[in-house]
Amino acid sequence: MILASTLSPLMGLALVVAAFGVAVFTFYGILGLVRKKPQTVPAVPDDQTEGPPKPPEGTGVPHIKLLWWAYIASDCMLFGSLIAGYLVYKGRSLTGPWPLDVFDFQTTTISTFILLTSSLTMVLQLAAIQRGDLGKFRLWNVATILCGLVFLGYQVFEFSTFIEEGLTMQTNLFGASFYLLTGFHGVHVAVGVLWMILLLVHSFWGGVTKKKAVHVEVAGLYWHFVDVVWIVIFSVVYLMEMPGS
Amino acid sequence: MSNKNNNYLKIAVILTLVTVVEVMLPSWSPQTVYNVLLLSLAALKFWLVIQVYMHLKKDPALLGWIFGMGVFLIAGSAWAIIVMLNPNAAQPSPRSEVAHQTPEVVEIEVANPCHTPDPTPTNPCEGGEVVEMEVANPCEGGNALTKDEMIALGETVATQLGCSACHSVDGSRLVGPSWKGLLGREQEMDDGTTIIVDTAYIRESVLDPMKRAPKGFIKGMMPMGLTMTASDEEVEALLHYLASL
Repeated sequence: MILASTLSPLMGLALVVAAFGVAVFTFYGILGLVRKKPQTVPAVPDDQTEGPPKPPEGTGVPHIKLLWWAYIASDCMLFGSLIAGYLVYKGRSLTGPWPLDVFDFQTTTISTFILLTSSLTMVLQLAAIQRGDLGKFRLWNVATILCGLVFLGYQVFEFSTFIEEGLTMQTNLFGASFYLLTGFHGVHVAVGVLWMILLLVHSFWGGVTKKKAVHVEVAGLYWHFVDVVWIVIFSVVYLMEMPGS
Repeated sequence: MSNKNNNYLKIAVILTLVTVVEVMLPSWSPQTVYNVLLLSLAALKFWLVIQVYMHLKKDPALLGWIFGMGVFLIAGSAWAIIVMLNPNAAQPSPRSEVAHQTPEVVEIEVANPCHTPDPTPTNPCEGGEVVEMEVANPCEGGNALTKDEMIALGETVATQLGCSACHSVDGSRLVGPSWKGLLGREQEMDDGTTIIVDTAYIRESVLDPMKRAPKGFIKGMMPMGLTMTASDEEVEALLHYLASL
């Protein structure tokens, strides 16, 4: 217990640093903040048209979008395994606190609504930048950040309440699998919030434009994915424990 | 507001309503019905978000295939993991059939589950099951398994129960103590005593893991109902295997 209480702030700090690193990497590496070298286009010989027909090239999808969909598909596997792990150990803890001892359904329902709402503000933000409306983009961007932060605040409150009630990662199988699953989800939300903040900052530097709307779109893909993961977690972890069921 | 935004708003309203329905769902309905309903509603929300908010409806099918592949792979794997490791899904072993046969093999009785001189009434070793187990003829059709065969069977059982997730056989420390050199090991326990590990203790630690744990390990981490899917013979084989390491 002593070990857990001293380690968790450190672990939390480490996770935030890691999340920040990922976000910065995303920002620099993928949003293309780093100035690109002018690329010399290899000249296509004129006689190319006379040769055999070239095979079709490309997928018709911006590379960055393809990349993030591939990432999301792999993230599915991560969350799928964590959920499967949670379900395997469900009801097999030898000591309490058990889920019903600690779950507060009202609080979780509210935070779920907030996360769902953030998905709406996310698409509105994307629609705004696709129209070229920078003001509305910032408005909905800030709304998304706030929703994300409130959700994280609820999670911090939830975790600290649970720990007060005697449920730590080391208490039982429920604690271990629950914190692992929801903690991973929380880290994803935190990374999403950092991403949104970086987009906002970037917009003041003139980096977010109608032409570059796809960079907001991929951030949105990530954000919505984190939201759908919560949809599953809310049903599988919380609602299935509803008293009487 | 444009039509696009109206559409997004509509989806948000639907998502909210579905969540309200989820939370209000009568939890008095049968568990299976309730779970199926919850999962269907979660799937509906999931589908709406990825189709509309993540634009899969309008984007090239390639992206949908990438994502669908990820979801399909992990859904299959998760289902397999849960089915394989869920003790409630398996049928209990037909103990009665075995119990009336003549006790024959004596090797098993070396591992007397009740070495405690004055067992308290709460001692689960006193339970009918274990007594039955002593009487149980572990040989099917009169062909007694040799000790080596029992150990081999035990190794299979240990693999099937997933023990290696927490126990190593090479002496390295995982979540649980290593099994290497288990029998005869001098072990300090969390209740302050030091014991020499014998077959009785091995049996106790598998069948009643909450009684005590080796010092430095967390008591609540052994899953409940671990041996529920195993027949008596398989449990015996497992104990033989543990003692052989």
